[in-house]
Amino acid sequence: MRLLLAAGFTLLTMPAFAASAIPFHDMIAGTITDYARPKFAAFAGTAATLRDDVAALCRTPSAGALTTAQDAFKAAVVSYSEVEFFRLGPLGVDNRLERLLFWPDAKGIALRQVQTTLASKDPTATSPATLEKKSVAVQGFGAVEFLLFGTGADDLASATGAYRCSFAGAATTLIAGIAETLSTEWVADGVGSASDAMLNPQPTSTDYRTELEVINKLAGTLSFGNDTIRDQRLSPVLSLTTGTPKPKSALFWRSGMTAKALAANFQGLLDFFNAAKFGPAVAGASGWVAKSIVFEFGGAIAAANDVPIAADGPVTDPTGMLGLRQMYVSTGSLDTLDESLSIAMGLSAGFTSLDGD
Amino acid sequence: MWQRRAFLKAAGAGFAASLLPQRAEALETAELLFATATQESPGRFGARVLTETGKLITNVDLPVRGHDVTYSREAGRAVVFARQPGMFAVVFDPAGKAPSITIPSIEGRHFFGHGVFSPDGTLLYATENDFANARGVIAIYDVAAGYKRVGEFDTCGTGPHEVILMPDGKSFAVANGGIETHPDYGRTELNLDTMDPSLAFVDVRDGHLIGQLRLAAGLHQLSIRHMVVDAQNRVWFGCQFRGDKADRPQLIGYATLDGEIKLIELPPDALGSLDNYVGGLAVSADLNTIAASSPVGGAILTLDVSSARPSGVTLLAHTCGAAPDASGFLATNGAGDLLGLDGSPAARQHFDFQFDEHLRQLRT
Repeated sequence: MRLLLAAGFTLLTMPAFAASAIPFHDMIAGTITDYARPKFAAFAGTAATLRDDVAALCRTPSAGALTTAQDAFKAAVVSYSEVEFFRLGPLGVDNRLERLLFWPDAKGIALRQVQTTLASKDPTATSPATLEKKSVAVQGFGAVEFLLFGTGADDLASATGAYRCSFAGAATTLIAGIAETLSTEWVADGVGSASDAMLNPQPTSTDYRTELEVINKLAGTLSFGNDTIRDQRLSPVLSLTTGTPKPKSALFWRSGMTAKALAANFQGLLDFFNAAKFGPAVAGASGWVAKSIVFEFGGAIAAANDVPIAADGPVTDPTGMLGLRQMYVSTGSLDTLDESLSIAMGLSAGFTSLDGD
Repeated sequence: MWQRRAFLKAAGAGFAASLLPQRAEALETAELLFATATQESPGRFGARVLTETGKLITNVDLPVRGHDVTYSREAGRAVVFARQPGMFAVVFDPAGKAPSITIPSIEGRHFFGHGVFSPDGTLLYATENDFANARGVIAIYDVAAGYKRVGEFDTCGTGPHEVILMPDGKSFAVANGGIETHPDYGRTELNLDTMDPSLAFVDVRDGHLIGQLRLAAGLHQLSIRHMVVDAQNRVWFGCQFRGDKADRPQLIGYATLDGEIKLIELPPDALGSLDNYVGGLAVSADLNTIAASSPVGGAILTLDVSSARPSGVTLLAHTCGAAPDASGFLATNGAGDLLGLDGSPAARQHFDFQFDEHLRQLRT
């Protein structure tokens, strides 16, 4: 077979016009040093705090301890939302994504399974070792949000909620464990590490064969993140097929974190964009592309931050819904600009190679 | 093979004269014609009919990305389908003389990006999504009635992608990808844990299910998506794997109306070049070679049909479009490149627009 392939093998490397004003290696190094490592470390920190605060709540239940745990949940959601679309490397393997967040969940599977688990007081949900083997729908942020904010969450402030708290303790321990693993794997720099695979691509590698391939995947991450925000976070709420918004189709509506998570999504992508030096890469005649992307991210973040949160719960008021619509429009602009960015660099990420069909 | 002559005959007298001079000249020197959806510039989409050297014959503008193009000499029309979740298809005259017709999707349905004409050109069939019920259908449009939707058949599966007609014109082969989507979630795949892909043969006359073939249960995340037919009526199919990225299942196989379905055994290096994703298939003019393209792997793998063994790999980043020319294949990519492979004499060229996923030869 090798001989056969060699005989018929035609190597056509990337087009000659693929170009950046700065070395690709600098872009990759910037991504790792200024985005992946600090952001995943921050997530590991907030996840550990969440785990510890839920453990403290379980040891000594009180209204104050519950509030502390809820606040820790919100902080962990923000830090995760800043990294969740960076799926190259550690986050994209071993079902870590699904174990951290079972979403989208159009059929409400997680809610049903969590409620069933609570009703039966299934003992296997109270230990990380056994919970890990159960459905991903009863693990991760979705399950923890219902346990800390959903119907019956007030029980956590007293001994009445002991089982529920143990369930939350196991789930937050698993989240913290994954977060720590992600950070550790990004910090590693030896042969075979995620950063080494990106910084030193090899023709025989199954990860990346060239630096240009890495850059393409980095550019694709921008498009992927943008599309995912639009398709999984905004579109289900706006429900354009029915014309009637569905506020409870929003991620994190129970904790009132829908808009803050969206702001963190956009902020995380913007931070990645800057860390990867896409701006300097297209300096010059195409500099307008990078400036426009930064401008659009700013508009989307502002729209998310302007969504009123008078009380915890879903976005229902017209002003809030208008904010979601503004973000939806921003994703359309960013979609086009991401394409312009790829063209300016001679790439084609996101057009045919990363979005399925 | 002299496709241009047949195309001109179908287009009618005076067609070439009606074209702009440079387009008429391009047609005059063309051997073959191809169609593809395109991105003309960021955010501006269309479809083009091109010569084998990429010269423009006709084009239409589209409001969003198109996907595949189908053509009927009998109907004298080509149709470009919006990419899923597509809300329209555009019927256009490759000769550029008649105005285009837009077919909007009906309430509760959207296009999946593929379709085919009946052999006599009187009906157009398209894969569509009954998204409230996660049910695939083949919609039927009456050409003479201005492409009025006159019915639909069940594909007996979720997420049908490509539909083709078997050579005898009596049955459809449908690639039920098995992936549930809903336009409220864009292109998000909603059922990766419970996917149930299949290849279904459906009777053209009444829509009854002739047979439905599934791969082994352990391969339920292997989405069957694109197909071509060889000289022995075997339906070759290409798959996309939605399971763990570390797994490397086989991706190409064939099925028959007799109920056989099997994946061929590609060696690891050939399989690895596809990177768990076949974006399109094409069969050569002599039906002896199949090209499988992978935009993810950035490669086009050619296979000898009789031995089911690879005959070559061409690396081309962002490639997906592949179509037969007289002696090999043309391949295109999302960076605006076109090249010939596997014996094609076409020289590599770069264009200022981007080719979308499929390239179709306008069979006449």
